[in-house]
Amino acid sequence: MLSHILRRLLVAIPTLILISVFIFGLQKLLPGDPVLALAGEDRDPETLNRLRDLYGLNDPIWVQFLSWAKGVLQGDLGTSIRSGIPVSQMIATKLPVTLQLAAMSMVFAIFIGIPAGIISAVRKGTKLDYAANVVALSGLSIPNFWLGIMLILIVSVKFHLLPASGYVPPTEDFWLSMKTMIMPAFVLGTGLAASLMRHTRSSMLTVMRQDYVRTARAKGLREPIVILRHAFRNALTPVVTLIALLFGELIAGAVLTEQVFTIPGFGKMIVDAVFSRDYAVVQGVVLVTAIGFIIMNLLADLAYVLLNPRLRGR
Amino acid sequence: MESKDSPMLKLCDMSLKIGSQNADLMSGVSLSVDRGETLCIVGESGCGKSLTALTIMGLLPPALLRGVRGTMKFDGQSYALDDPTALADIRGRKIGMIFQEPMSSLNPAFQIGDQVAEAWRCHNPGDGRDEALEMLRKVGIPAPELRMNDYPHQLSGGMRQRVMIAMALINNPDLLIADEPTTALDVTIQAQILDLISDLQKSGDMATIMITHDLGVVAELATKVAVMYAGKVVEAGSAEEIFSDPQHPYTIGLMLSLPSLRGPKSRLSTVAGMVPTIETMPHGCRFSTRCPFAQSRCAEVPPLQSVCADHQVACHFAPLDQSLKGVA
Ligand SMILES: Nc1ncnc2c1ncn2[C@@H]1O[C@H](COP(=O)(O)OP(=O)(O)OP(=O)(O)O)[C@@H](O)[C@H]1O
Ligand code: SF4
Ligand SMILES: [Mg+2]
Repeated sequence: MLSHILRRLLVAIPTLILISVFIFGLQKLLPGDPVLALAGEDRDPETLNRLRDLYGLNDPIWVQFLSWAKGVLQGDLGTSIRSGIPVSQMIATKLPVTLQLAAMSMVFAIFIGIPAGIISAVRKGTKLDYAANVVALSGLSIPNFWLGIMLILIVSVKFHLLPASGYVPPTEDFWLSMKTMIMPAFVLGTGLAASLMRHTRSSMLTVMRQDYVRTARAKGLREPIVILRHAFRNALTPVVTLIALLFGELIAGAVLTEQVFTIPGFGKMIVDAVFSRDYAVVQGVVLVTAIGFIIMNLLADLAYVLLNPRLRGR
Repeated sequence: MESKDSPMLKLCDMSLKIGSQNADLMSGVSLSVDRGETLCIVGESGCGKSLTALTIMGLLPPALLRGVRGTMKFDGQSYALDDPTALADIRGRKIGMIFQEPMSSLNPAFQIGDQVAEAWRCHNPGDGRDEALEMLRKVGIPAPELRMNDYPHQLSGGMRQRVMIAMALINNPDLLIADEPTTALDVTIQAQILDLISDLQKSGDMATIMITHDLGVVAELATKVAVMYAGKVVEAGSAEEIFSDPQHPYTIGLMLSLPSLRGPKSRLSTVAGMVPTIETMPHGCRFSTRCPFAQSRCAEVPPLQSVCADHQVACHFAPLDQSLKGVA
């Protein structure tokens, strides 16, 4: 078990290096010049060059990369060329926002997707099953930004029930924080709920055909116990794996929703950084996102092992 | 209340039809078994033995349940076979079942002790751990206090089947159904499991239905026999009657091939020909496509008729001693 985790972590290192190199290279290919963006009206070549020197932009690209990588190894992600704030500090303020959004979305997704999946598997072929599938398909095909805008128009603009945008940390005002976050979390969550529902359904359908489910019934157990304890427990593995992977995706994938609801999270930060050619910020965000992904993957792996007695203790 | 002499279980005229198929998958199956008796159901693969067992348990899959007709009397109570909700009350408590597939019949996610205890828990107060331990010891699991924490994958097939037996018997059922409990096991283990079942049965006062391919097993365990062919009971009676005076051509065919059946895992396939499928099912006697005695009369369905007090046969030419003259 422990060796398994260690092995996975070892594999993660080259992955991270590769991602960093790739992003670094890609950024340099982007048209545009951070110094130009920074200098504003002052287009004096002398000044521009001095700025380039200051930020090491005149060095060969591999020197730039190495000096960045050296910083990362010492825990220094660099400084935003625009705001002058250390990237790690920016991330530290934005990441919790996105994590909160991701967690709340996941709660929505789990509480909608999994029960819906179980019910439509148990009631396979009935109207309830069809209805759930139609709703899920709609959930998958309706774009998040559209749903977000619609919700804002209806819930906030017309009925004034919830704030349309912004962000309040839960430490400051818990309920207001929930109120501002609930719509975007719902928007993100419904999309995820749909795919969770489909996975739960197909996993349940497979498991419910198994002989041990028949055994559970033969003992005289009531149907809800047969389904939840005996079938669902075994159908859980692929579902939990999916949840971990979706959570990883949420961290980076909330960009549009964050834009729609003007939430100052990770997604918004990366978009702003790309537009202003704020290389250090982009690099830092990508690195942290990649690490987040790898951690979620690892958790998915761990869950897989923990849920399967056969794999435990190896 | 029912009179004392009605048997523990009486299955009356069970039939099963799937969707729009014109022949019944199972047709007019009637069985009965009483305390202390062992009814052996014999027949080739696919003749409906497991479906009969699942019907009694009320465990048919929903798709098949729709097509079931017939009634069942158990312990003086009547049950409609197409409505297993009433059966849920006695399932696992008064009727225990052991399945054909020991490898896949235990839940891979739970410890075996817990799975056995659960069978106790869902009908009795208490957590059932002590009862499960006791039961696991009874079925011959070595070091049960350690083994009960094992997961199914840590056990061999024979051990798993012992666990299934423990689970089926923990509530002291009035009826045990064992559906080919040894087919999936090694020959050496087969005898052990059969001995175990017959020991446990003798120590209680259960009625037992033993489903098997193996006429050797029948000869050893049965007090009553029902021979099934293509979804019908073609011959039924006391074990002595059936073995000393088999009447149905199919039963006779099975008996004639008995010596070769002593070997491992025989599948009763030594009667020449194949079981007709539901599409090719003959209208009259279902055995007529393979029967050496088939006559034009066999295009009519032969009813299951008594040839003597403890013996019924579904063949136009039974009892044989009279009709053989006609054939000769
Ligand atoms: N769920 C089902 N849907 C349709 N047909 C089925 C289903 N289950 C079983 N059957 C059919 O019913 C017939 C009887 O099946 P059953 O399992 O009772 O046979 P069996 O006598 O137990 O055979 P075996 O000795 O191989 O276990 C078979 O022809 C089988 O194909
Ligand atoms: S009824 Fe006819 S076909 Fe059927 S078993 Fe008897 S002799 Fe054979
Ligand atoms: Mg069977």
